[in-house]
Amino acid sequence: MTSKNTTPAAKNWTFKHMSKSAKTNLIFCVVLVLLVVITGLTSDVFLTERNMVNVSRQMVTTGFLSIGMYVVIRSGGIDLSVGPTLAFAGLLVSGLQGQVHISVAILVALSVGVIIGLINGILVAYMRLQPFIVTLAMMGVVRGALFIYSESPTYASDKFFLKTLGSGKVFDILPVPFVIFLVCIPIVWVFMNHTRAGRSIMAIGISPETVRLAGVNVKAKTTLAYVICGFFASLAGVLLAARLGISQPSVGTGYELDAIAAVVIGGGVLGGGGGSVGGMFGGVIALAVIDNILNLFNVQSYYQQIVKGLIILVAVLVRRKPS
Amino acid sequence: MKHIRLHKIAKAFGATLALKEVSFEAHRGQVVAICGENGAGKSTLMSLLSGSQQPTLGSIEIDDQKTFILSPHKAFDLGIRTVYQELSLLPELSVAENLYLGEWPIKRVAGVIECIDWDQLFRDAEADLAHMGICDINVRDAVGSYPVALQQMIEIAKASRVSPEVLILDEPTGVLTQTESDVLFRLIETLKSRGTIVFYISHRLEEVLDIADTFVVLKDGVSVDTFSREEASKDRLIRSMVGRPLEDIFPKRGTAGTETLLSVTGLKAAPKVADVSFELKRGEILGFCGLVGSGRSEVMRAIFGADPMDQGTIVMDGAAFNAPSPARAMAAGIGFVTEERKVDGLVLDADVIDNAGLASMDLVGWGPFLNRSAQRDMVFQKVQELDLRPLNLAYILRRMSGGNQQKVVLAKWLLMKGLKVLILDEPTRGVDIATKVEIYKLIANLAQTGIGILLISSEMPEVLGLAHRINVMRDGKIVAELDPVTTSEHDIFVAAADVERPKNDL
Repeated sequence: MTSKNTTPAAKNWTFKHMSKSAKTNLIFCVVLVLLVVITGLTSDVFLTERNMVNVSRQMVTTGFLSIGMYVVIRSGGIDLSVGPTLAFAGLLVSGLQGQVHISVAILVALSVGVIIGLINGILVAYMRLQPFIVTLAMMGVVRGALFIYSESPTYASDKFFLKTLGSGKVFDILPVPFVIFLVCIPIVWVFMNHTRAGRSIMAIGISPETVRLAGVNVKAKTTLAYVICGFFASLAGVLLAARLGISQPSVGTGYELDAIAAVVIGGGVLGGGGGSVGGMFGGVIALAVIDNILNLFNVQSYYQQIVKGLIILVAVLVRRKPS
Repeated sequence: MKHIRLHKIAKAFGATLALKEVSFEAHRGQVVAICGENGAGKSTLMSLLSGSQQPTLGSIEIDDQKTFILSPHKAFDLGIRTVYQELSLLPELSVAENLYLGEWPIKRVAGVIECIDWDQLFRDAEADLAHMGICDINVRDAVGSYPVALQQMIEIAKASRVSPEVLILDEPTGVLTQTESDVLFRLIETLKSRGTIVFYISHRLEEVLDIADTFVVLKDGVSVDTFSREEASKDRLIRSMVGRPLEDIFPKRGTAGTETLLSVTGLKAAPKVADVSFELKRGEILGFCGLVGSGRSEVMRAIFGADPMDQGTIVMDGAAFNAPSPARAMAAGIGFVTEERKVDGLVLDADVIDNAGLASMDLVGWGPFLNRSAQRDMVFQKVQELDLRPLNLAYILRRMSGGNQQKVVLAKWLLMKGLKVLILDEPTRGVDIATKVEIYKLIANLAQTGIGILLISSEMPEVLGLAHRINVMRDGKIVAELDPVTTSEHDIFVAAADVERPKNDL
């Protein structure tokens, strides 16, 4: 982002001169690193290759959901239906894999996310319904339908699907789903920062009317945000099905909350107007690392929920804007 | 309260001094005009008086007693009421509920259950409004069902209901028409006679000269000039505010072209636009006057496609475009600076690049992608040309002054590809006088390059000073076409309101 004849405001890379949100991001990073170092010193398991690979594998699902959630939240909305969408995609891909080629199964599963996103988007943008209500209803409808159609778990058996996509590793160390996640992060960053649609979505989250009067098709762009979210939710579902080898209609319950948490920890503001792709990425890592640490120290899952809840509160408090 | 005295007040925010040295005093029953450019420290001064900030140095004395206004609550107890530019009413609640917010009358049902005494509430509210000369408001209606101007009146009524000791009014007439302003001025007179000290902030110098008893001029955080009504003149005000005499506020009118650029025939857009036809020539500044609600803004919104139109033909440069949308209007070369920049003109939480570059993304695009550094260069050049201060592209618009915000809005439309007609709806509202002069110059220069300008303004001197022709609107129709050179404000008013008024009333 260098440009020749521009901004005279010289960038000062000292802590004092950073913007408040940049400071907060830096502090979060430092805290996270400290946490990793301290845990690494007290636990012999934490920094082992095996555990790190586990962490990277576990963050992928929340990660994909958070990418989509980030785009939707920037547009000023929210998507509560990502959990069932994920489950739907997983069931489809495992159910179809014996009958059609696996690539077709995956494509069908992904398009289901796109379609759910499209319906959400149309209801929000064109019918002017509230995102919270629309996606809450969608969450119920999809989840209910899944339970009706799939009474027992579905198992996947496709070799490519399980071995390569699910448990394959790049360079013998990085899980394939994690690598796909890592590739998606810069793509979304470019989308949000360097495309017309992305910049428009960002502005729509703050003032849709201003954007509409600047000649942008606000309805289409808002719908696009939900489509993107649905796509990433179904991608998460496909990869989760590949990793676990088993798909159930109940999978992904409550995952939307983790995704929202990751976005909010990264500076996102419900209703639009804050956050960054980098922040969201940091939020995903932070949640995954904290989960892992709590597991290693055998903290009961109920306590884990409390800790996670408190972390979200602290993150929001720290980022609070002075009134 | 007999008098309030400010002695060498200074206020620092971190390292910046918002106020350096402000001293003046005000007496019972006086209207004190606080004048100054944006950034001169008016708002800071008001926040000290209303208790939301504390002075860093200096003292506030009320009746010779050093007083610390430590909180808005304390200010309230002292009888200090403030009406901010931003309305603080709850739109879903009724007018009466808003007027008595927190003090709703209670009655006991069955001896124990406390209920709101609605009859009492509505009666009191009606009596209050009648007392203040505000008649066309039903206190049972929701505040949000009234236009902004009336909401502003309700807000002022709320603050002055109890005859406060001090009433602070921040740009109260910004959204009011002449008639409504007159009601406000009468209200101020009443309060004066009851001994209220009124601090009055306004950009409208004529208005201030009309109603104020004392003038305090702030410049760069210093009270540079204080004078009484007898010594006051527009010239003196401007000279102390800007620090230099403004010989000529309005630039010389250039000559308009003869070739028709935009022609609108039989435009109808329910409910506000009944039947509007006009032509705009190349390089012409066409003024639109009319009371609030006369349909001026709605005509522009329909032409731009911001609202749907029912009937009519719009021909731009020989090519008709009907059923316009903002995108189609822009493609035809129309730009639109809207009336409420904070609502639909700006993305307030975004920076200068995103705001000024919003209507010109196709110029720096490559397929779906944006060349952000080209966009940055393009925006930088334009805002530098418009003398944006500070010249910082990363600045968030919410933190900018009104004048700078407006420059960013103007930059957005000037950057649009193929701009031929620029619609300006209240282009200088909430803008300081120095920036106003810059904007006037810009408008005149744009017209000189052949761009057609549709100029709406409630400030009649502005339209009279800039426009080549003036269309006066009433009830959704153009009722008069006037020549600004031979027209007075009075003529416009008569046409706009369809009533003859004695001249001395203006």
